[in-house]
Amino acid sequence: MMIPVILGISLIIFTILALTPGDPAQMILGENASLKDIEILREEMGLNEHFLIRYVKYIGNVLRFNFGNSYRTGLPVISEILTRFPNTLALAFFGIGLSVVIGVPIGIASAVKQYSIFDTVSLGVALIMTSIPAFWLGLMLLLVFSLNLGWFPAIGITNWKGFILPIVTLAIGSMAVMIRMTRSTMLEVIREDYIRTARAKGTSEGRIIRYHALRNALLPIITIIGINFGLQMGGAMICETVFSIPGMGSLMITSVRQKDIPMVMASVLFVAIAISLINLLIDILYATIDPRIKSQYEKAKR
Amino acid sequence: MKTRKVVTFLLAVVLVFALILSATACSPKEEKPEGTKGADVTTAEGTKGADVTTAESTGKEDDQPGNVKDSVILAITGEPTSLDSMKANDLNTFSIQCNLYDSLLRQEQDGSLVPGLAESWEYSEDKTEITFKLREGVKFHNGDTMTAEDVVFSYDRALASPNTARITASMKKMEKVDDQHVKLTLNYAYGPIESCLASVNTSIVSKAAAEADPEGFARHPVGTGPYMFDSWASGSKIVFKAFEDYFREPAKIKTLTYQLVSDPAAALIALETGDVDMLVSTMAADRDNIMANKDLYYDEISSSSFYFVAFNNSKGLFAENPKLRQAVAHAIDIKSVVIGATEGVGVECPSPIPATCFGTPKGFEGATYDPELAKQLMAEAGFSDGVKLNIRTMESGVYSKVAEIVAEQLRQVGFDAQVELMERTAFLKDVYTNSDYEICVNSYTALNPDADFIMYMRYHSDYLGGGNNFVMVNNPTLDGYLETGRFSADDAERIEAYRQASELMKEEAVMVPILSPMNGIACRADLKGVKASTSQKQYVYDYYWE
Repeated sequence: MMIPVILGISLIIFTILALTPGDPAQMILGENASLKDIEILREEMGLNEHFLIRYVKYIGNVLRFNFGNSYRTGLPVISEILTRFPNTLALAFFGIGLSVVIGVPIGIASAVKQYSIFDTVSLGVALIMTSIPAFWLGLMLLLVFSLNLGWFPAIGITNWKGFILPIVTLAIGSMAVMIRMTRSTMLEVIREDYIRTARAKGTSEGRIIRYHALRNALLPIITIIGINFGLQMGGAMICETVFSIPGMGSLMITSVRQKDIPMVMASVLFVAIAISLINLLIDILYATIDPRIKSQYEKAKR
Repeated sequence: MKTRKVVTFLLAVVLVFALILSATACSPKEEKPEGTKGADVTTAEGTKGADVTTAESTGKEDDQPGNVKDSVILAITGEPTSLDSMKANDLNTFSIQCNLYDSLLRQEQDGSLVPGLAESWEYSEDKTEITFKLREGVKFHNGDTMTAEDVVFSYDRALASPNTARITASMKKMEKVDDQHVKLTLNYAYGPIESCLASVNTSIVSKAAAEADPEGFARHPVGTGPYMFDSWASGSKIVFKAFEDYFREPAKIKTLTYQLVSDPAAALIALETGDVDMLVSTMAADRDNIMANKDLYYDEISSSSFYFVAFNNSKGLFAENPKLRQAVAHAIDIKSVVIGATEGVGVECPSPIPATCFGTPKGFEGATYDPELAKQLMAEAGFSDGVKLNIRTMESGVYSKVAEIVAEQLRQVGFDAQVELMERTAFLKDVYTNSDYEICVNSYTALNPDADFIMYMRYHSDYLGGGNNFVMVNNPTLDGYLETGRFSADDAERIEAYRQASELMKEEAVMVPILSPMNGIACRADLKGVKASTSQKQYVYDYYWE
């Protein structure tokens, strides 16, 4: 399933790049170049061939792990991406991780203590967190923690301290969804009959919540985590801009603006593969958590 | 029941609170207003924070207290396209590369041209040949000594490269005369030739290094400049180190780091905390806050670029109706556009040559702001009922503001003006390359602060269409003035020619020049030698810490 999806994505992106206005040769030579020079460069770069031919050539190269050279810098695309990819990966991973570690317990507590003060406050806080625009939050955190308190550096990620503020910004953005989703699935599950049975059996409330209720509520939560991770990979763009982190989001935007086709294609492919892998992992996790799904796979095998 | 009521009441309060918050949060996500909001907070906290930060930063940055700092971190908003001198064709790249390379001549901060790698030079009778006497004992960053072969090689390279067309268009070839002398032959006697000889595009590179690795030269440049290349972490920062064998005194700043910070608000915060030492471009909205901050130094100068309203002079509504062009020219109030589009931090530009460029006509006045005259001209042209206008421009910052204000001013005199915002690549293709427009808002930048760079290729009939003369003006008298400006070697004659050209363009209302933005720079107050430059050039050799 992954392979047709990735191929499809690459074809769509390539087509869009070919059909939208903008001439890579003109971008490279600048606005002052003469038409003649632009035409010569286009010939050199092979831009005048039909775009389907160019696409097939590109895929051929990719299968041999040759992603081409960036139009903008002239250097192999792969080196740039490999520098930036880990940054975005780390940001997305820890950002989502933080939001899960904080959000899920809050959601569970909210569900268990439904309608209590804790519940109302946490819902209100979740609402506030969704409403805050990410870049405003980032800038405010910078102002308070970097300028006024001086705890963290204002730019870049030269040491681990530089990661804290962007991760917090990312986490706050996705935490609200985590809290609400956990809360609603937990609420559903707690009302189920098997929970009543467990209580009747005399199991401690804590074990009921942790073991029985949570495992059943986990499926939608994991789906959300998978989707959120995909979103963050594609563009922790705002965080990258505000905190000056060299990541995939800013790379893709710059490359699209400059019509740096090899870079855009390679970045999209990388991100698509990462997201597909994560979703694959999520599917496998489903099987681990839910025996019903596991048995489905096993049945299919027979 | 009672708890239910209390809870419902609390929920209602939370809801109302949330509604109010969402109203404030849902403001348009424009960079400028958010920047001002953040900056306002900074003024209040900034003075307080500054006291705390000064104490902290001296502790943070000086490894040995008492040592004068010798490193500078510059925040740039975009990476240079390349570090190869023959690939540079934008001001940002020039500004970074000028620290790595030297050319035969050097342009000082006040615009004067002095000997660089050439000790002296002589012109031939007709000014089409220049013979240079080269300086001896100049070293490259890799230890080699500069020879005449390196000079010839560098010029061959620059002439062959399509990126340097603007600067090298007048040059035919460079030849070695002997080990100490080289001769440059020009295609025609070119007025501003000396500023081209000082440009980054004609810098002298090491023939050995460039031939050994042509592709990699862009990332491992070897020149003779005061700084040598150390490292480039893509998307993050570029580091230069002072070159100790520089032919003049070695630079005082030993380590130069260009840090990429794309968000202007974050860059200002980084400057205030001391994480960076200088910003090479500031936003108009931050100007007052920076000037009020005692730890920072601010300088500004009007740039060598300008924004204008252009007409398609060969096809369509404005080509057929010169009076309509005049009407638009008289309907625009340049003062208001400066205030509205650049928050007052910009200067009026009445002629098509920005004030800081050589050849700008002093005391020139553009079309007077006279809405009544505009309406009269419209009626004379037969459009007293108004006419529909579609002003095309790019969607970023200043362009859209200029276009909106101009559109409103045009509506005041009876035009039915709409603004069409286009994405940059689309604009470049449709309007710029194919001249598919009637009226638009665009800008020009002079790569060298000399009138020829911003006039000849833009308005001469030889360059009609295809991205240079996109206003499609074809006027033999104007051609004549532009040619005098280009080929004359007499400064006074050139200035007069450009004055006449500006007058003619105003009479014909070829386009309406509006404003030049300010180039503002901000740095830590104890970093001296920093000046704002009209071409955004930052020559770090002149800097030192106090």
